[in-house]
Amino acid sequence: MGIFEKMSKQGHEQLVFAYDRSTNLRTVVAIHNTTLGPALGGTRMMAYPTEDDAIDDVLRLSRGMTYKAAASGVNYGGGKAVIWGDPGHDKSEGLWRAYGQFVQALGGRFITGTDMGTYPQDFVLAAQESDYLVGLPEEYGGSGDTSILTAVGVFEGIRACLQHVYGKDSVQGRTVAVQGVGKVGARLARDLHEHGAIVYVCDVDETRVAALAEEMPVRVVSPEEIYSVPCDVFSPCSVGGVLNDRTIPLLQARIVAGSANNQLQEERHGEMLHARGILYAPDYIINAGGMIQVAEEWGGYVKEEAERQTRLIYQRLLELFALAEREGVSPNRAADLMVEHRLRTIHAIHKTMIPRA
Amino acid sequence: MEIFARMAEYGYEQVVFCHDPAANLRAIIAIHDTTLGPALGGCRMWPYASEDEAINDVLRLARGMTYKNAAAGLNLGGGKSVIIGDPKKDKSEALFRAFGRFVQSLQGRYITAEDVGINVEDMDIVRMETEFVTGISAPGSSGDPSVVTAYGVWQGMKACAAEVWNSDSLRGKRVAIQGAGHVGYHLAEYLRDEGAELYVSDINEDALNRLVRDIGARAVDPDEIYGLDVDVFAPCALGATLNEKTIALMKAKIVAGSANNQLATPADGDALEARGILYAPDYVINAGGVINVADELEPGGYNRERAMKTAGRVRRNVERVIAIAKRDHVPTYVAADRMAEERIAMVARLKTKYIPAGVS
Repeated sequence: MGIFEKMSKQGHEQLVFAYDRSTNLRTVVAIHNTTLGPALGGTRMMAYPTEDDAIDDVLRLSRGMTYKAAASGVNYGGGKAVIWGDPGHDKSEGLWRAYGQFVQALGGRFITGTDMGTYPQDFVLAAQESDYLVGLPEEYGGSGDTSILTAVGVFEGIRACLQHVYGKDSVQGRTVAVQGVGKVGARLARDLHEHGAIVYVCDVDETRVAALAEEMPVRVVSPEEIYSVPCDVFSPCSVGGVLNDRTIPLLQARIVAGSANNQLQEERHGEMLHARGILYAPDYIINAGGMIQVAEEWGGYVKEEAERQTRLIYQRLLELFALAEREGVSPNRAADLMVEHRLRTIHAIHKTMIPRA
Repeated sequence: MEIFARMAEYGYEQVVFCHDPAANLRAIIAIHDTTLGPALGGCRMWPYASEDEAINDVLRLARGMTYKNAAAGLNLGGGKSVIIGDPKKDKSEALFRAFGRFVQSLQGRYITAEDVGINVEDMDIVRMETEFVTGISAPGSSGDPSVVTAYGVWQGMKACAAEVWNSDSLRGKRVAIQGAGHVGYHLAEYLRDEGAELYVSDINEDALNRLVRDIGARAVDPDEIYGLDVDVFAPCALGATLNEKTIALMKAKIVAGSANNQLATPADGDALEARGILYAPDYVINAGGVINVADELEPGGYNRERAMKTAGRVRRNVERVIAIAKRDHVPTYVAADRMAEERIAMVARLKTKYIPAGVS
């Protein structure tokens, strides 16, 4: 399939290839939609097997960012960058500075933070060449680790789901199965425990669960058992695609609400959860805390404001669930409708010429 | 198509795919090298049979502009853009405005201009959305470049004459001009004024007759132009007219004209060299056109007098190509590339020294 055909199918505005001979930088930036503002999205570094894999990934992820930003109420469009290279071997000062130059060349149409394979320290190097990087460490004027606010948002999201299902948003006495206790999952587990929830955890990395079990009374299960734990909330906080034909029938929870990206293996799995009467908090809405943080970072970071915005996930999800009921659709379908409505509205109001200083 | 493999081959900096379904726009902007300055290169509209064909074209043309701009002594890098579409059917205000917005989004790293399939009116629409356009119709425009191009060709031809005959005078020299279009016409004027004897061919009878009537050149058949017993052959029409067949017929000692892509293949440049014919590389000698349009970017806007003066530099540039050809024992078409590459490397070296911002 040609590049324009791929862009057409998903509605992308711009796809930019940049190459730098002296550092062997090979990067692709996809700008999906800038109706709301500059495209915001992470920079992923990965040793893609082929160029097409890199292109497909950046196109898919940038479109997801349009939805994520629009659903979170921030004034950003959707974009993403991939650097085609091995994060273990191909990093250098030159590579990051060449990358920073290229981001600068886009003139602020694309603002980027860290993602898989890229770290705040890399961005410190790139930031020497660009004004459009976020996710820098606090000592460099950035907002630091985004996992804290992501966990805050997921916690608030879980409370909203409980409110919708049980008419009471307290986690006290509720049982939550957390799949994956990496940076976000571990924080979430702690928060839940502190607020009186019963917490089950699993992780493919046994040292992580062991560390958490030493710290607090969690119930450790195997990665396979986590799906069928009798609980109120199943909280996927690791890899994507975990909600699929095989796992959904195993679920005993009334609610699925977690931080992982792309939790539904396919769109139809959202309908499958809906049909089973399981309330699904769309991933890109509930896990938006990190994105809200970096969005706040650009233009001067105020921690309290970022946290306030993140806590609004509670209200946003309740509104979404109400919309889904009104329209008789699943929450993930309702989320798409909400995003598309916002894009149409903002596009329409921007047609009017208003002089601004 | 492996885009990065293509970019790595010749060191392209950036390739931008621009898409606006509402405007029916599919365009590609290629920026090859910006060592010397913003990438200047035209926008071409063409009904490419495939996306790959469009990519190939824009990459090839963008790199060509790097060499052309560098060889012209301009502080401009090389770039080009293509709009996929039929210029007869697919033009609209939306299309060119959408394109203009993408040009603007590059913040001046790419400056566009008209090329095949695009006219001044189209560029006027592009300008509604971006300041990074040259060759528009508004006041301050550079207008018809053909007289500036012709002046540069004439100067380049004189550099060749000095090399071959130890005198730059073309008085009494017999010159065969292929093509009686705007550039051919103005070139004929310069040569007549200098006292050269002129032969001209064109498939367009009107243009041919006008030149013959106004300037007093002798009309010849398009097929006969190559084999005339002349001193200089000046290709000023289509590309690829220097090929295996035509070079064998040639009696001229110098080939110096305004056409683009005169050599059908690089081997034809070697063939000219082997036959002892001095070839003034096309993109070096026809630089007056790009010099003219680039003058719009100068402070205070376009100035025809200054553009003509700058086009006079073509003479020095051709001399330099000849010197490099002798130095390195290579044909002139190879020497032209080296001249461009050496200038880019020179400026790249200069840029290694840190100069605080605000000092220019």
